[in-house]
Amino acid sequence: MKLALEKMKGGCYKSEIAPSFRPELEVIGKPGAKIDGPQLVSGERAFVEDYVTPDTCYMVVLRSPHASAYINSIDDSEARKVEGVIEILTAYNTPETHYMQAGQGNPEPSPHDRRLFNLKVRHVGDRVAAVIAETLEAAKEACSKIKVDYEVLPAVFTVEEAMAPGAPLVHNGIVEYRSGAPADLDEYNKKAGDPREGKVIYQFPLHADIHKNIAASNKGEIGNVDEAFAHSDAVVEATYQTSQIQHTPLETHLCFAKMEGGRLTVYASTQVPYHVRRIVGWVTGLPENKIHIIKTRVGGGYGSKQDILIEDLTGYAAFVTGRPVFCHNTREEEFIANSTRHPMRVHVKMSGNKDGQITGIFMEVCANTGPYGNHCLTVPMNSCSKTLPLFKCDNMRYDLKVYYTNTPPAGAYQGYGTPKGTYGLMMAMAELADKLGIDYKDMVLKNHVEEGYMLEILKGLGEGREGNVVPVGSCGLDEAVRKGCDMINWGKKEVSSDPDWKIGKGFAMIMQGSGLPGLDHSEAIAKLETDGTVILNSGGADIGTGLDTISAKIVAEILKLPMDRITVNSGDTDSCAFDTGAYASSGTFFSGNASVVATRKLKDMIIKEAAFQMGEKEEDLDVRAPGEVYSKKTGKTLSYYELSHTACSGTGHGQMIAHGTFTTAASSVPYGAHFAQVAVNTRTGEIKVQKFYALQDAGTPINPEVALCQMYGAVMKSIGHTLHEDMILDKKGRCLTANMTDYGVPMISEAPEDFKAVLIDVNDEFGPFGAKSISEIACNGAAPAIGIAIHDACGVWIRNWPMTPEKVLKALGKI
Amino acid sequence: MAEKLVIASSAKEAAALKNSKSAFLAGGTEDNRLNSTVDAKTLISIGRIADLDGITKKDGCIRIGAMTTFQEMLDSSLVPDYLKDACRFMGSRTKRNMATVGGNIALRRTDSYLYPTLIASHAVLELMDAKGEVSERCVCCYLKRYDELKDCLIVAVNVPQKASVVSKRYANTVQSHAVLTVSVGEVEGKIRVGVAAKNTALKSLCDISEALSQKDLSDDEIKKMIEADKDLRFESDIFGSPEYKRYLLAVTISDLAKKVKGGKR
Repeated sequence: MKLALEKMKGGCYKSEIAPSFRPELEVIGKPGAKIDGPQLVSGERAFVEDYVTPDTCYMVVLRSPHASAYINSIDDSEARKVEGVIEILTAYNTPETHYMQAGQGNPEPSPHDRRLFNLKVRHVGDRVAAVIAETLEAAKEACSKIKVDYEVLPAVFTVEEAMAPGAPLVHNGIVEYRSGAPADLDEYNKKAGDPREGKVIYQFPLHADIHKNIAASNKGEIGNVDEAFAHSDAVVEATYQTSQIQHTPLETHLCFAKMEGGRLTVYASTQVPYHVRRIVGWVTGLPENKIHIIKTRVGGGYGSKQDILIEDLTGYAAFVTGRPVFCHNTREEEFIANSTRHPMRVHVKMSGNKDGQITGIFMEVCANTGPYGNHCLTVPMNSCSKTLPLFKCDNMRYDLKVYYTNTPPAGAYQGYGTPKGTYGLMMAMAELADKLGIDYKDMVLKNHVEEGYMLEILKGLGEGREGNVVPVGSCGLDEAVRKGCDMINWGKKEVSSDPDWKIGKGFAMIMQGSGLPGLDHSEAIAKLETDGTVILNSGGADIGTGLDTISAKIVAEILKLPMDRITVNSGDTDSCAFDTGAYASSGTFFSGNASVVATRKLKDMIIKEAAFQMGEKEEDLDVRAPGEVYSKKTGKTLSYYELSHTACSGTGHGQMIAHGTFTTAASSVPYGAHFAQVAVNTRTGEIKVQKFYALQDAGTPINPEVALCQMYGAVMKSIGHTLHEDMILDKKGRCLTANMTDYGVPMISEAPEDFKAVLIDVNDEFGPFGAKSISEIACNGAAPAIGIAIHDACGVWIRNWPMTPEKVLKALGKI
Repeated sequence: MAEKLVIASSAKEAAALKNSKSAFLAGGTEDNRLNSTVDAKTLISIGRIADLDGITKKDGCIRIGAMTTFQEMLDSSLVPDYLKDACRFMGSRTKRNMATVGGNIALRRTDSYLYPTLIASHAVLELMDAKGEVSERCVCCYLKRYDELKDCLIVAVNVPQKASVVSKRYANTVQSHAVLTVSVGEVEGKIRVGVAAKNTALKSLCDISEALSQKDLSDDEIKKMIEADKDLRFESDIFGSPEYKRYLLAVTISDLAKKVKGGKR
């Protein structure tokens, strides 16, 4: 508004949109527009839906009305008579291949526990059949004519129900291991139930026990926690419960697939094009050279498009029918049949001394993965591995168990377990400070990690393998805490003129990762075209986060080329090289670093070829704007156009193409602190977020303008989780809030009155131009910051999401 | 799902066309909504009827044509502030530009944006029957006698220019359905309480209004009167427990009544 008013008044605006960083660099660290902005705002073809051809068939999925049931039979004879129906897919005519939908590195730390269609439905909304028809109306009509005979089974919806002795089992089939099978597996499988249960196949042991509904587990300890508890001045112990929430991307999940020349082409709105290709290959039986994934622009992912939730079935449908097939989830399907954030019960026991030193921490995490095990180990792991390393504490223990239930499925969600762990740990620390009579800020400053501190706790917290014990690297945590405390006037009690409104303040330390060291892998190919422009084929997947802009800036910075002479082509599995995808906050760090490697190699090639063409020594040459090689010795110049044209003229050395690969064992951890000031009406329970300050160390923000947008957006989402959003299930497992109105996504009206995102300037050793990740971490702070602020305001701890007025009134004893 | 659209050229034509299988199409925010509650074979568009537009002032009353949008009310210098407050309860700017006062009244939703305020301000509706005859009914009468008036075309709503009316809306987010909207008004020395309680009731709380006109009431006294009201049988749902809703209604009436009376709690 401010900028618009300025422009209306004076024809242009002069206010700074975002701060600048790294004055020695030309484009890195400077605000700038996203390179795909014009395409998006002008309404050009950009999204999956834009590529659907007129001859396309539509696919509609018949979904289970029951939370748990065996399918006795399916009669689709009447449905097949509907004019325009091409095919109806069910468990009876699709492959028995077991796989999972998580888009993770292969082999995945998730069990292969589903088929395209199962003979046991495990949640309301589970796939029963899919109709492919020439029109959407015909597909819907045919769906309504499919008769299914179910044998309804008892169901479990919470971890408490799932862990109860004698609880109904969500999976009770044959268990297999691809590696690391236990010696007693044959004995274990003698307990397997009905053949319709299917199989559960582990790539490696996840410490699971399906006969107890346990999908995965892990535990570990450093020091001696019990000893610490026994010899501390105070101990607090509390349980924090998070709710089931949905990503609600504006663009619901959709996919368009078609066969062309014996190849399957899939237009996907995805974070993981190469994982899509692999999993579509598994279900169709096609080799990867016969599958072409085209990642379009993505209308919101937030982790849900890390999972292959619709591409598997759409790709298979196009493959078996030979017809172009389009499938597009309704909003209700997003809630009941997609993926959601794992609900978690985080039990924390924490001890400390009167001097503010935290002496012991125990975290017990019980997570609800729903009916299938997507990310079942790694999401709950993150609730420990991205929180405990915030503390300089010698005695820490974690114990996590993940349970199958019959709720809508869970999966990856921005923050990936960390928001829940952060909520539990920070709230517990505030409770401990309160019990010890110590200012929370002082306790934070005394106990947070700093650069060089060795993170022993990481040893057991790898993603299904042993973790790396590394020291804390670049770290802006202390600055974020101190600066945020100054901004919000920490320690000053604010008083409302209305006695019913009480005002309080809170904050939380936060951290995340920048990809997965030792697991993630990114590649890029940089090509100097014959006119001296550059096309960068990046394996990375820009899902609206600005990764393509980051890649372009990297090329511009290294080759000193104007941005309009660089094109980034990304997420196309035919033209680009492998990348694990955009998840785990890996985009800038991994895919960006691959672009750095490729572009630096291209620069070396340019210098080498220029030395040949110019008759100079390589060490005397360098590149400069606007895209030319110059001699520091003779002053001679050679434009990229002349250079490349000559190289490709028939007598030269050929086109300069560089391939960059990036893998690392280094951890570049972003840190930060989020602050909230809330007003609580002690008469009505209403909560207003008056102020929210998000301070984050993102290393070098390559595009500060977009980085700030990421922070604001993620904070708004997490405020939603904290105060508004909730998937409420009835006793039969049906979601009562499966639409945007009832679910409660916060809109601009819910934005804090005073809302600031601040980038803490830290240069990282390993990131591209010093950059670390920015977005996921911003989901972690709101719940504890607001929870602690509510306590500061009115003296009650709200230990479960969402923090509603009714819960406040109950805690206050008003109802 | 509607199968036919008729564009009426006059109020009389529209009123004559209305029957149990048809519905008036005003701003369209409900009729055209996915999963709309409106079940009609024929939609009668009243968007081109000039008689239903306009905001005028006469004898201390503000007459608002039924097709006036929420945004037009907000932009008007004639519409009293208390009614603008109710218009602002509609969070969506897009909907404000579409939704009409007449449409909102006709829907009688239990999360209505306007009804509590219209009840509390003793608003009067101008209704046209199938014969084209116009009669005036207060909002409360319209609600009570809806079965006999449901096919009438709402032509306009009249609200007092000067009235002391305060309202409060409770919703998860601004754009969520409200669990509770309450208005308390004082018009010509009489207190009126209007309530829209989601999935429960849309009504004037006559007993409480009467009692508040006589004296101040404590939270507990109001709560007991709510418990005694057979129309206010709250149930547990996604909006909260019955206990929460009863408590919230009681304290809100109490607080709003004190504001209207100028007292301080």
